[in-house]
Amino acid sequence: MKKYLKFIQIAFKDRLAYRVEYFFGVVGFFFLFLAQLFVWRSLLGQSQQAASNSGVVTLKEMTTYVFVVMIVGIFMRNNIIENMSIRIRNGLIAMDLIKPINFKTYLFSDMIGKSFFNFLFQLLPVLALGLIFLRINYPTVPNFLLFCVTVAGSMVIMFLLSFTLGLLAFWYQSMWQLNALLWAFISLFSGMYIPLWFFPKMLVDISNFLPFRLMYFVPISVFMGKVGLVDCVYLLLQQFLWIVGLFILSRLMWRTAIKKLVIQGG
Amino acid sequence: MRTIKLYLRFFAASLKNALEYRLGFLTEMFTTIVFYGTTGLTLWILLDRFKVIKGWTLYQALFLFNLNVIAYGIAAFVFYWSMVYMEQMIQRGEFDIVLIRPMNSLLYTIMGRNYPSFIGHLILGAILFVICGVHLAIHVTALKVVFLVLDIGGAVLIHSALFVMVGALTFWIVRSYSLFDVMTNTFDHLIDYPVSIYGKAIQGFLTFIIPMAFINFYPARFFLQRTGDNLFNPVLQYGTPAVGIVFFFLAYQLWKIGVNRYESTGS
Repeated sequence: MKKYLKFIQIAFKDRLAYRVEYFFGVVGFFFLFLAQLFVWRSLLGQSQQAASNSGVVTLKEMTTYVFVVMIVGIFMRNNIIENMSIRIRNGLIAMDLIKPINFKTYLFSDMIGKSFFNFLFQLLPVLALGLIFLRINYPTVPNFLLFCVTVAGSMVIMFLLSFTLGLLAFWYQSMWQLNALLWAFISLFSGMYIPLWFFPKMLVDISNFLPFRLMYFVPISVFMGKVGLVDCVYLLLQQFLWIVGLFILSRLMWRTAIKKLVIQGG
Repeated sequence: MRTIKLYLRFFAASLKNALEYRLGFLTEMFTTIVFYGTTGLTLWILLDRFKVIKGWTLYQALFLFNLNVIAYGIAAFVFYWSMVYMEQMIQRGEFDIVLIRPMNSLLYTIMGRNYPSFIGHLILGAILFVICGVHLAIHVTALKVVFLVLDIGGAVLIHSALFVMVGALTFWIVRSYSLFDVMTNTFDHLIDYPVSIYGKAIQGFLTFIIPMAFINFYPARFFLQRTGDNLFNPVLQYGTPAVGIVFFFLAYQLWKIGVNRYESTGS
């Protein structure tokens, strides 16, 4: 456990080392945040509210939604697929395998370290600035705690999904394509840009069968108090089942992949 | 003339290279189509529900989006890969090779680093143009066709200039990944929607500083003959080709300063 905490710390420091990178990261968040706010402002128009699949949604609620999307997004973004495909292709993976660490846990710690750095130093300034000018709905304490739990769950789902896809690099070369396709699906079905309240029925039905909704939409709905306690338990159960399923799948794939692995000497 | 010939040679080589891995080439094209297609789908979901965004209907918004898809596709085809690669070239001192070639440094940098799978953008663009054309019943005249070609040319130059600027700035900042992300993805995302939805400050920023509004917003206003959302001055809707040339010229100057500043790596 101690060594993985160290990995988290290292990832954190690694991010600190490149200040220009850091600066443009902040600029990026600022513009993304602003763009989404303006989109909803003009879509909701003069009345500042709109009918949706689950009652009327106000501009203040949509502002809150965009606000929380930014927070959740920080914990969903990672470069695991890219990182794994590089290591697998150039053989660095051999070094990871002979070290007395669990490769998967190492990647997970690395992700946590980077996410928390990005959250504290890149996003928080943007959000703090936002709070001066914007009015949002704050959650109740129980909702906030439930939100944290669901975000942790979605972080694990995202990690396992990336890791499982990343393992495909043992068989397939152009991994950036899979990464791009994954994000295409996430941006459409997760509620990252459009809450599922505004989806046509057919797409809501499709998204119920996919894990992506559990990543953004569900935690944000919990934050906003749109989910009853019973539903909340049900959604947590769904998250749990996805985690178990993906965990087993990644285990199986890892075993097959390692057997297949041949490293060129040198 | 010689340069063009050389460029075509390099292009043919990179195309052959791509076609050598036919499956990879096809899946790559498929990926770019799906990736941009989902952004189009996002617009569709929003406007299916809300009908208009700042007075723009679904097909008008798709037309706007499409102008950017095409311009980005062409510019990225020429510049994307080489400008991403700049980071590595500078870190490893590989840029030395460029300097000893009897050729313009920018031209040599982009030679042979085309990205044929951006043809996917053109396919998606053609499909969307047909869909929008049918639904919007745009009256096609010779003048409009000329304008369309000029505007796309200008828009391609604006996108190209952004790529070159990132590449040039790499000479100073060395690690350029997040700059690349901001300049080509984040700003690109801003013009998925009509620029008129933003506040005056961002409109000004996207018109006069990073002139991305000229890629699609101002030309689209002209083609769709929109009388609403008149920003700054109506003459801007004819400005894309000129802005493209000026902006690309500035990017090229920045590139030249950057190249002069380059001092290989040690060892």
